[in-house]
Amino acid sequence: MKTNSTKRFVYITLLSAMAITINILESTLIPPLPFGIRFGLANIIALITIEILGVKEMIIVNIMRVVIGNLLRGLIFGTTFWIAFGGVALSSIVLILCKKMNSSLLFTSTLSSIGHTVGQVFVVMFIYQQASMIAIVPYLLIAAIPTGILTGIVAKEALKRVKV
Amino acid sequence: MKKKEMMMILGVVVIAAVIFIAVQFMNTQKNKDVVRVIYKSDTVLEFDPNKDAEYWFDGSYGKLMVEVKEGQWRVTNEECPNHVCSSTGWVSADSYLPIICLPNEISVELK
Repeated sequence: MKTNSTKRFVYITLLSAMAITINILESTLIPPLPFGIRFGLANIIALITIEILGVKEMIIVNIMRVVIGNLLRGLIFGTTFWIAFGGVALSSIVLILCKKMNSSLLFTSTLSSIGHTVGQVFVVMFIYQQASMIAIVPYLLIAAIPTGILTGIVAKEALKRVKV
Repeated sequence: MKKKEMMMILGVVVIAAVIFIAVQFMNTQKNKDVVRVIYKSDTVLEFDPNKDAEYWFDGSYGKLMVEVKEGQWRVTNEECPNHVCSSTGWVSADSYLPIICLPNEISVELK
């Protein structure tokens, strides 16, 4: 999208605010599922951002979401923050790669959801040195596919309606 | 989705299945009569799952209780933000999963 810098700035701010809100609402309203499975609804915003703005903006929005989202919940630089950061870092890398490969939105969403899971598991294993974590990795990987498809569908429907 | 993309998703499913089978195999090698509770990397208690009991532990975040009943065990009354450990529910030697509470740095697993 070709826009002037003010418009771009406003878009980044709005999308960041939405991502942070969704992130906080999801973690407070939706009860935890077994093994800590989550929908990752904030990923919808990351997908929308990379589609309508671009890679650089998506990275900014994702970093804002983790840093400000954790800051608002008072968890900044705690272990939860680093776990979230690991997930977002890997899912952002996957998003960038998918964008480069011109993948379909559903696939991008699914793969970034898997990337999020893998990133979090890596950080958890690194911080807590819990080798038994590996036992729940299959469940997390399988769960990442439907949740990724769900966020992909929502992002697709949203993009149809958003005019920039 | 394109065909290549479907294959990649399928690849992830296969990886998950391989890990699952490997973990199941490793579980068959474990001692089914001793369950241990690990805090950080130290074993703080070993118990017999066939003896009903309630054990309390102090974790890094707060207290939690391990309830043992008729060969099954679970974590309840935990003080933690996400309650992932209690949502794992009852586990036994036959339907085994390690129960992990990350904020408390406690895990309950077979020896």
